[in-house]
Amino acid sequence: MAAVGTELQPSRRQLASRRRLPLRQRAAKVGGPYLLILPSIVIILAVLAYPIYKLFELSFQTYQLPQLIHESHHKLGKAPVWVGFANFAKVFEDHQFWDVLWRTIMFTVVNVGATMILGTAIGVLLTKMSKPLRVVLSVVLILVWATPQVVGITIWNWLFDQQFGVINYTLTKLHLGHFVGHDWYTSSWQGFLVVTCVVVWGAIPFVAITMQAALTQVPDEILEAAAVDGASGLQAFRRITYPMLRPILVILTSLSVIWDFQVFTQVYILRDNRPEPWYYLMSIFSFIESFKVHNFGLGAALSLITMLIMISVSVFYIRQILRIGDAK
Amino acid sequence: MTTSSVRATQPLRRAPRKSGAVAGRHTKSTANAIGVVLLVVMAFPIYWAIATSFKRGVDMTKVTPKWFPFPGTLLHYRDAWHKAFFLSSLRNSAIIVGLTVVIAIAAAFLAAVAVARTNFRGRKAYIVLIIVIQMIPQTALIVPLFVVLSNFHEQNQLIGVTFTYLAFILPFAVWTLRGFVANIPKDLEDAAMIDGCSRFSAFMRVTFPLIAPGLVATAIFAFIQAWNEFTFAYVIIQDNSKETATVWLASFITQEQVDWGGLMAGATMLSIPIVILFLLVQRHFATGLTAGAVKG
Amino acid sequence: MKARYLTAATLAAVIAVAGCSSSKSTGSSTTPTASAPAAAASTSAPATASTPAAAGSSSAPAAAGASGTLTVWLQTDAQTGWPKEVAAATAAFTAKNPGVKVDVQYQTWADHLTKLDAALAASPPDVVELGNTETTKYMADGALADITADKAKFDNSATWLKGLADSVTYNGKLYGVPYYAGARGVIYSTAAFTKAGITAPPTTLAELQADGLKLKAVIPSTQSALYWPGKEWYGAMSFVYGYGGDIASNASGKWVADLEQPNAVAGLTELKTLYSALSKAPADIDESKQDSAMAQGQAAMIYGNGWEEGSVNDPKTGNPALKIDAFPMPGKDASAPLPTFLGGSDLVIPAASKNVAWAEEWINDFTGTTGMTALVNDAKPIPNTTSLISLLGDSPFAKAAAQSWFVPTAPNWADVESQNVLQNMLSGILSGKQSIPDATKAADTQINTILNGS
Repeated sequence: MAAVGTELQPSRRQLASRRRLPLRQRAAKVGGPYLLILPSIVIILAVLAYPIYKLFELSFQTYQLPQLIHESHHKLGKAPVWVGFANFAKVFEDHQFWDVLWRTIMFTVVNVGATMILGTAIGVLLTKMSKPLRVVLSVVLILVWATPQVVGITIWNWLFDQQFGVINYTLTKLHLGHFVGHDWYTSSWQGFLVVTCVVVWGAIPFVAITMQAALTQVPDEILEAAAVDGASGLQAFRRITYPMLRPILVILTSLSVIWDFQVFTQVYILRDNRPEPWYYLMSIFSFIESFKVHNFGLGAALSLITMLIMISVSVFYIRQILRIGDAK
Repeated sequence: MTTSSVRATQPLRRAPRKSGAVAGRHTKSTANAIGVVLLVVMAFPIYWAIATSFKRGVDMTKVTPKWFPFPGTLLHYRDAWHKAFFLSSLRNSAIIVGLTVVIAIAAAFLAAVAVARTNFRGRKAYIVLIIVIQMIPQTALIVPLFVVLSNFHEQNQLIGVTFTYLAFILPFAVWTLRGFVANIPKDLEDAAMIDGCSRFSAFMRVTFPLIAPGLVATAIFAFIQAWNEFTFAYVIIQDNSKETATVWLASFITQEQVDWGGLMAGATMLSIPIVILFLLVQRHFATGLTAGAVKG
Repeated sequence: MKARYLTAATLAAVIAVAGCSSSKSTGSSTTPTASAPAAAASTSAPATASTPAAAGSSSAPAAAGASGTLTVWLQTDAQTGWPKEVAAATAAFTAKNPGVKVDVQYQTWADHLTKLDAALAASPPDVVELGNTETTKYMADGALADITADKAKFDNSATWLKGLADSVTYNGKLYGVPYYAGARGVIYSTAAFTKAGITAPPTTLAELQADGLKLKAVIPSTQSALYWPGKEWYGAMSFVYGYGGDIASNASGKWVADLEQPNAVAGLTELKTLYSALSKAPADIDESKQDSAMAQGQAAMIYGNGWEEGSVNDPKTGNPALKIDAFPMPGKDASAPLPTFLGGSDLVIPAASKNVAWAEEWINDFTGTTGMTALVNDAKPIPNTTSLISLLGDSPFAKAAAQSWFVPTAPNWADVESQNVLQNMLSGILSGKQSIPDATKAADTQINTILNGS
C-alpha cells in the first residue's frame, strides 16, 4: 500500500501500532480496494454478464424470429444454427456497411468537437458571470439536460419544420435566403445539421456544468499568486488551469465519443421512425437489422463491430488514462 | 499557509472570486453579455415547448409563428393531469430514479476512491472493464437482458428496472468520479495525516469537501439519465400501473396522431420536480465550493 | 449455460435482499392451464403439422373452476377511445370464467414490436393487438398460433372485411382476428364547395378534376384545391389498384413487382394529372401534417382517414370553426369508388401462449357481434365485418370501405416500407424529377430484391 512510502517520520505511537497490526487489519488493508469495488462489480456483472455473453453468441448464429420463439418454448420455432463468422463476413462484404461506418465516424467527429468546444467555453463563461445570471443559466442548462429526448427532438423538429418552422421563417425574414417551404431533410448534409443541433444542444449542459465544477477545484490562491508574478489571464490558463483540467477533459471527450458514436434516438425520431438509408448510423443499422428485419444474429455482429471499433479508437486514450492514473 | 499573508499584503483590486482565474474589470460584463445570448439560444426550444403547451390547436402550426400563446388555453394541462397513470408514473419514476442515484453514487464513490487512490492487482482490468462496458450498444442487449430478468422474476418489477439502470450508469459514474478524486493531490491528505489525522479522517476532512461538486454533478447526471430513459423501462415493465414517466409521455402518441399540446404539457409538468431538485441542490453546490476554497 | 449459473449465484444474494415479490408475469410455466388433457369436445385438428406454428396448442373449452391469468396487450387507442367496451368484454368473459383474471395492458405504438420480441423470448402475452401491416412477418415465422380450425367460433367470420382478413391469413391458414379498420375518403371544406358552386360530390375522377378546377378559381392562391402530399403512398396505390393494377403478385411462387405494368402506370398517370392541376403541397412530404394544413386553411380537400375529420376540428390540434364533410374518393367510373387502403388492427395469439382457448374467447367477447356493435356505436371506427357497416349509416368512409386493397402479404413487405421504396418513387414522379416509366422500373427492381431476398 502506498501509505508506507510517504510517511517521513512516523511517530513512536504509529511505529508501535504498525508493529502490532493484527492479521485482520492487515488483511483489510490489502483487501480494502477489493471491498470498495465489490458493490459496483457485483451489480454490473449480475445484470450484464449473461446479456453480453449472449451478444457474442448471437453474432455467430443464424438467429431470427423462429429462434426467438424457440427460446421460450422449446417445442416451437427453430433452434439457433451455428454459422461461425458468416454474419461478420456478410457485414464486411456489404457496401452499405462501409458507407454507414464512414458516415458515423464523420458524425462523431463533428458532434464531439462542437460539444466539447462549446461546452468548455460555456463552462468557463459560467465561472466568470455574475451570480444571478449564473444561477439562471444553470437552471436553463439543467432544464435542457432534463428535457426528455422525445420532447427535445420534437421541438427541434418543429423549429426546422418545412412549412411551419420558426427557423425557415426567421432566416427568410433576416434576408439570408429564401427558406420558406425549405425541406431540411432532402439533403443528408442539411438533415444531419438538424441532428447535430439536437445532439449538441442536449450534450452541452453536461460538459458545461462538469467543466464549471472542475474549474472550481482550481484553487484561487495559485492563480492569484500567478497574477502577482505577472502572468496574464491566458498564460495562467495555459500553465495552471489547463493541466488541472486535463483529466476531466480527457474523460469528457472519451465519454462524448462513446455516446455520439452510438447516437440513435435523435435520427430515428427526426425521420419519423423510418430513417432513409442515407441517414443510417451504425446504431440504427444494427437496430433495424435486429428488430425490423428480425435478423438478430446479423444485428449482434454489427453491434460487436461497433464496439470493437470504439475500443480500437480509444486504445490510445485508455493507455493515456492508465498512465495518468499511475503517475499519481 | 501563505494564503492569508498574500491576501493581506495585496491591495484589494476586487473581492477574491470563488472560482476560476482572477478577473479583470471588463471580463464580468463581457461574460454576462455572452451569457445572455447563450441563455436565449439554449432556452428558446424550452420556451417554445412551454408556449406550445398553452397554445390553442389552431395556433400551433401557423405558417407565421405565433410567438406568444395569447389567447391561450389550459386544455392541455387539464387533459394531461387527468390522463391515466400520470401520478402513478411520477411515483414510479421517483422510486426508480431515487434508488438508482443513491446506490450508484455510493457504489461509484467507493470504487472511484479505490481506483484513483490505490494500486491493486486487477486495477487496470477494472478500468478497462468500466470503459468497455460503456461501448456496448444498449439496444443490442434488450432481449437477453429481458430474458435474464425474467428468469429471476424481476421483469415487471421496479427493482428490475433499477438494477438495469445501475448496470449502465455505474461505469460512467465511476469513471467521472475517478477523475474528480484523482484531481485532488494526494499530498493534501498526507499533510493532514502528518498533522495527526488517520487516513480515513484525512480523506473525509480534506478530499471529500473538494470533490463534493463532482459528486453533485455526477448525481445530477445519473438522475437525469435514469429519469429520461425509455426503451428499457418500456420493455421491462408490463403493468401500466408500474410504468415510468417517460413511458407515460409516449402514450400521447397514438397510431393516428400526436397530441402535441398534451405532450408538451406533460413534459413541462414532469420537469418541475427536476428543477426544484436542482435549485435545492444548487445551494449545497455553492456551500461545497466555499468550503473547499476556504480550507485551501 | 455456465454464464447463467454464474449470474444466478451472484444475483441470488441480491434478490434475497431485494425481496422477490410475486411477479405478475403470466403464461409462464408456473401458471396452470385450465384445459384438461383429455379435451372431449375439442375442435382442434392436430393435422396441421407442416408449419412450425403451434399445432399442439389446445383449444379445448376451459374446464369450469379453472383459474389463471389472461394477459391482453391492446394499444393506447383503445385506452383513450373505447375503454368501456374493453371493460365490457372483460366482464362478459369473467362471467363465464370466474376464476380467470384478465390483465389488460396498454402499449404505445413506438417500439411495441421490440417489446413483443422481448416478451416472445421469455413470457409472451396471450392476446396482442398488431397493426394490420405488422402481422405478416410474425405469421411467416411461426410466431402466431394457427387458429384456422376455430374460425367458426368467431362471430361474423364469414363476412370479415377483406382488407383485414387478408392481413391475418398466410398460406391459407388463419392466424388472427380482425379488430377494426379505418378507411380513407376525401375530406372537404363545405364553405369552399359552396363558394365554387359545387352542389354534389363528384362520382368519377374526371368530375373530381373539374370540381377541383372550379375550386381553384375561387380559393386563395396559397390554398390547394386538393392537398396531396407527394409521399402519401396509401392514397397513391389506391390509384394503382383502382385502375386494375397491383403492387406485386406471386402467382408463380416468386414475388414479381407490377408497378411498371400498363394498369399501374395508367393509375399513376391519372394521379400525376390531378396533382399537377390541383395540389400545391410539396412532393417530398408525407401525410402526417395534412390535418394541420387543412386546419390552417391551406387545403380545400384532403384525402384522409375517418378519424382525421376529428383531428381537423379538434380544439387542441386543429380548427374547430372549420366546417367540413367527406365523400368517398371517386373511381375511374361511377360504378365504384376508388379502393381505399384499409388501415386497422388485428388481434393475434402468440404461438407460445398457454391460454389459447381463453384468448379466443376473450377476443370474441370483444370483437364479436355484441362487442363490435357497442364499439362502432361509441367510437365509430369501421367494424371488422361488412354485416355491421350499416351501423355507420351513410358515413362516406363506410361507403369507401366497401372497396379496399391490402399490401402484398410477403414476409419481407415491412422492409419495403422501412426502406421508403414507394415514397421515394412517388416523390420522384410527382416532383417531375423522374418519368413514370423510369421511376416505376427502379422501384420494381428494388421491390423484387427485397421481397425475394431471405
